[in-house]
Amino acid sequence: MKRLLDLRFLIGILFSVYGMILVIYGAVSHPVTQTVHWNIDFWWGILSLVFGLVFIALSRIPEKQDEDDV
Amino acid sequence: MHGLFHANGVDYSIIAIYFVFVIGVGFVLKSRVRTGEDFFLSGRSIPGWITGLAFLSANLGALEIMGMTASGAEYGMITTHFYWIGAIPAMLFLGLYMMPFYYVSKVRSVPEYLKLRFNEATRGVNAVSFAVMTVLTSGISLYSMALIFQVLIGWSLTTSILASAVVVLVYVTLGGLTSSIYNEVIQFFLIWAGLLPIPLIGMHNLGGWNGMLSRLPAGFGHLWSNMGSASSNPMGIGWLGVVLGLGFVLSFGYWTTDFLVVQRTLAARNLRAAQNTPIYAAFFKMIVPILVIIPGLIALAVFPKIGHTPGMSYNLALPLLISKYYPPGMMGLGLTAMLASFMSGMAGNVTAFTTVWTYDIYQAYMRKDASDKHYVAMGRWAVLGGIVISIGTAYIAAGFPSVMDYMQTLFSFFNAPLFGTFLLGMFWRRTTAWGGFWGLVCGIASAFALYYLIPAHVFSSPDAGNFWRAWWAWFITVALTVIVSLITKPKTAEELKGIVFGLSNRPNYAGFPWYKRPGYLATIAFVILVALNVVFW
Repeated sequence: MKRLLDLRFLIGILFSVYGMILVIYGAVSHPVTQTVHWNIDFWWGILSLVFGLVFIALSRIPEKQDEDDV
Repeated sequence: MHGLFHANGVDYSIIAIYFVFVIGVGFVLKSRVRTGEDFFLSGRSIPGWITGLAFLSANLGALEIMGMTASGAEYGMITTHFYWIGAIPAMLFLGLYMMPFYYVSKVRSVPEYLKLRFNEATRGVNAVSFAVMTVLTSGISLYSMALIFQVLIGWSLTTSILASAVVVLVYVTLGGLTSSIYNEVIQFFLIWAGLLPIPLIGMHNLGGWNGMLSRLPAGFGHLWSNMGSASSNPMGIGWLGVVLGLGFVLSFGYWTTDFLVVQRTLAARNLRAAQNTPIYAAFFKMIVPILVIIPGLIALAVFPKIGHTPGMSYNLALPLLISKYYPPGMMGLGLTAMLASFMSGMAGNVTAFTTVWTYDIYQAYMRKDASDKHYVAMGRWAVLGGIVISIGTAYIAAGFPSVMDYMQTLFSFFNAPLFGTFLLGMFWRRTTAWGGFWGLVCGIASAFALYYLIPAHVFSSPDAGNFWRAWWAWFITVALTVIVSLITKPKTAEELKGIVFGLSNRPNYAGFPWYKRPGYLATIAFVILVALNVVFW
């Protein structure tokens, strides 16, 4: 439950899910537009997935409590 | 109905996942909200990087994203003045000099600070004007978002308005300010994920920065070199108007006294985090032009007829680029980014409205001594009320095509004088309660008077009118506050302890490493800011 309150974990989950959707969709249907001929879904999906996993990993580090001010 | 896009299943699932996700976050956070402090101030427990991103994103609504891209296409790089001369210096000033008074005095809202520093009447004026402006703004952003979705994917106005309003209602009611802040941070990352490919692809296709500029009117790549006089640039305003009106009065007024943004800093867990909130935000704010102004330039290079052809208004710069560059999948992500920015902007307005309504109007004038539980319940009802009024104003906005510019103008009526009041109140001990009150009231009145008495065509553009009017409203506020203060009785040093410069302890961070100290961070931000202005001169 505590992890669900951690914003880093929430961001990680959302981006991992979006990354996976884009990677799978990009790999299966090879979408292109008139101006862009490389598989932007697939590659941007990989980046999103990596970003999401990094945030999930970051959320395993306990948050520092700075008790330094009034 | 058909829109510009033909969204398919994968696009709709990406949008649906976002809706489910934010409502889910609301339910998770509900368990944490027990007291009024939790609901309205997030229990003053949020780390600095989170409040910093939220501070920035509360302002980065759909209106801002679409509007700044449109402005980039219309005026070129000088639009960046809204960021680099406008927002950043004000944010650094808030963090370094004003936060200690806001945070240490333990106020729950901007109007409450005015009550402490001046009197009940000053608070009342600010609370009521802020509440009215905020619900009007959130209604107008609701309407403009619905309009975007109507153009893009063919949803009807009513469907878009109701769907977005219900989602905002659910998550803000459940989690209060924390829900808002969490969604603002998530939105910040979503905007980058959803929109960054546009400048990347655009620059690549156009042959880089110089390749892009070669297709644009001369001077579109510069900040200052065409600002010598008002007639030498398309925005119709010279450097002095930009520096005084936009850089000084309007931006400082907005970023340092508007409760919508200040509320995020109050949620920070300690004074140092509160001071660093706007300073962290300044670093991120500096790079936002990559997402909004550069796509505007790209849009003009790719669609040279934009702004001069029916169906291709400047406001559609960003959607047109999305539909040109994005395949299904990415399109869903781009739409989600815009939807998220709209919803978090609206949630920001609603939470700020809720707090001011509950603490500064309801508790101050209707029920003074109810239980904490009662005020939390009132806060939740205020969310509902604020959203219902917003839906109403959204339909009113639908009837007035130019209401957006008009609102922007109205909004600056209140922030410019308020900044004068704050500056004197915080830094000049002699300022009296009634000096503050009369200065503020007359400043607001004179802004209205200037607006109605001076015909619009006197100024070369609406922006020029706004900038100069803001400057004079601020000037009148300051002059009157000083005059009335000199003839009324000042507050004693005891009453002003901790809320006025010179009568409070300056925070001392000598024991901290440099990257945690507000002074060092703000200096670094300032150096980068100067460098940016020189590079794009």
